[in-house]
Amino acid sequence: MKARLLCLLALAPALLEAQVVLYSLNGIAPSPLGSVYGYGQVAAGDSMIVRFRALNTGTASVTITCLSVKNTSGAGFSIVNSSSTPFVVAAGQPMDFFVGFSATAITSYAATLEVGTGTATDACGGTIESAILLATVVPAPVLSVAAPCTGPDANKNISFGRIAQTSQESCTLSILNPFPQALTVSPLLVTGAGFTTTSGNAVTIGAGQSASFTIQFSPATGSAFSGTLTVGTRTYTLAGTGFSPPLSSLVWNFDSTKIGSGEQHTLSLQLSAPATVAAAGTMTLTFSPSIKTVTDDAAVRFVATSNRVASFAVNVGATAITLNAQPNIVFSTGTTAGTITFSVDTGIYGISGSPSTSVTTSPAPIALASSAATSRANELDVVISGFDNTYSIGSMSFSFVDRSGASIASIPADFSSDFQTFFHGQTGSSFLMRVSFPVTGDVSQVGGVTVMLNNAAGVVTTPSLKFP
Amino acid sequence: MKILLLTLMSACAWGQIESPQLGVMLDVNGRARPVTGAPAAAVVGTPWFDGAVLSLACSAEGCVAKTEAALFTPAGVVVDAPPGAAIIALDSSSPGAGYVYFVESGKLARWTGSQLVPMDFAPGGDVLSLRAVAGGFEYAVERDGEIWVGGKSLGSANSVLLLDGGGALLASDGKVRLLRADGTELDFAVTSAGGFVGGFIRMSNQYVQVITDAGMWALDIEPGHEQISLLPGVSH
Repeated sequence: MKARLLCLLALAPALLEAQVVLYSLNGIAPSPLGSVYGYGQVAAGDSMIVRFRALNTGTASVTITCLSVKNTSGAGFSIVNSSSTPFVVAAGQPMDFFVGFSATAITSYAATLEVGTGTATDACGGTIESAILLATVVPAPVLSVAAPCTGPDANKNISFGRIAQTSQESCTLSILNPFPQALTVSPLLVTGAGFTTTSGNAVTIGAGQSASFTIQFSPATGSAFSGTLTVGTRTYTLAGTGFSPPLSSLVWNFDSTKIGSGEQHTLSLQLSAPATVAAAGTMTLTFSPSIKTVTDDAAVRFVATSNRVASFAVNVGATAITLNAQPNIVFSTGTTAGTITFSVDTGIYGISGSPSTSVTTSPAPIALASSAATSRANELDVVISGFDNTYSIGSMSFSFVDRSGASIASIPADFSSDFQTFFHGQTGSSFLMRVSFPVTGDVSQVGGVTVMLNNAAGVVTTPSLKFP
Repeated sequence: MKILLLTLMSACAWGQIESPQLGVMLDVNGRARPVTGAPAAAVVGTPWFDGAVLSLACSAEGCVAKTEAALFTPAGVVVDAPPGAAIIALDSSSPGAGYVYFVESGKLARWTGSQLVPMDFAPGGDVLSLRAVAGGFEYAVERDGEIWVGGKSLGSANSVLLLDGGGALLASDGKVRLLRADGTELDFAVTSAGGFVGGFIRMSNQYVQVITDAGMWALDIEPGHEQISLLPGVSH
């Protein structure tokens, strides 16, 4: 019985040894590691790092006490990242580590990778999983990139920058062979949507000579693009961004060059060049009164919708812009002198030149819409409607004539304070004024009246108003 | 100068200042809304009430409106009426009164201002417009592709509004024609070519609302003031 127990204990190391299995990882996919693992060709001065895995396939934990790389030919391999040992690996769990290679001498290199589970004094003796690592350093050409491209940087990135979508940018790249013998660079490949080259798949460069080739970047859309350039053993990342070019400058078309208050005008909008993308946004109207006592005029707006925002859209290849889905838009100038500003917001599309334009309605004499005169038993009534875009109406005079047209009297009046009271709280200067004159005598003798109204911009006179 | 006996008081009696009323319009939702301000810078007020008006006519004396089942005035007079739209002609010689033709039933009634009094009426065709005249009324019907008022043809049109005093408005594609009683004519373009003029509403004595598929317009029909302006739309 005792002899059987000793026999079982003697088998224990063999069971532990079988618990650890080595893998290499290409990305995240592990592959069982054979007795030899080749790094392949590595350009002189470049580094190559491979990820390995020690997997505990047993049902009990195991302690890894040794992790080493012993260079046997040259000095290029080294462990570049791992957990420190001893390291306890639970059943079914892995321990990952990284082995790098870098050298400059053009020759072959070899090393032994060891993973041990021995005692502290003989960490890599006894129970060992191992593999031979091989690499060959080959001459490396020197790649340079001319403007407008930049790079390659430390991470082998070559940038084509930002260019307008559907346009094209060409960059010239040069490969220098710094070695004293001819060098064949193969493969020489470009991949990735948006990137093309006319170069062959390989090139032979004489000692100390250079070879040039071009890569074209043509982004089909407004987005980021990436690709790869393989130059022999080296792979570079190509990067570029396409963007939607801004819309061309706006051409504002008003139906008249003379714009005053109390009017409706039509505005149409065009681009100075066809749009390269279908774009949409908004057009906003704002109003800044030139009258100090007035803050706004509600009638200044796009008439059909009674608001101050309209949508705009333009189709790719078109210059005509639709406003609220129509070829033009009607706006009212209101009844207040001031500046009406139209501003286009194209959002992400951007626009060349100014996105705004303004029209100004100048202070003007009172605009009369209607005027009339009526008589009652002992009163004469004058009714006048219109608007005063200066908000300064008040001073006026009434010139009465008899039935033969002879002057009876001219009566001045100043209703400034009454109008200021009326305008307070109004959102516009439209008014309808009724003035009554008490009369003693025969009202029918009064034939007519003419009213002269003053404001800050001038004087206006009604037609001769006849009393019935 | 007996006229000097008149004493024009220099300290004249001050009447009042108010916002000018252009009239009452129907918005795209059928709400009756007052319109104030200058014609080309008008402002639309709040609806009379929260319900759809099918037909409307206004004058200096007031308005009469037709809902689906009633005739009413802004003053609060409401009477039951035959269903559907109506053609309303206010009678300037009898303020507050008028004639109402109910399109669906083909019935005509005299509106007294507070009640409807049925009238015998055999128009001999679809009545398109109605107006009060001294001692009665006139109406327009479509016959053989033309608009007729009595024995007079106004030509072809897709809408007509008979105006007080003998004139008329006729609508054809994208255009409104103002026919004066004296035979003169004025044309107004109201929309792009091919646009459809759907009808007219009498907003006030001075203004007529022109309804097109592209917008609402206010047409000033006062002699010497004729002009057309786009009415504000209602986005709320």
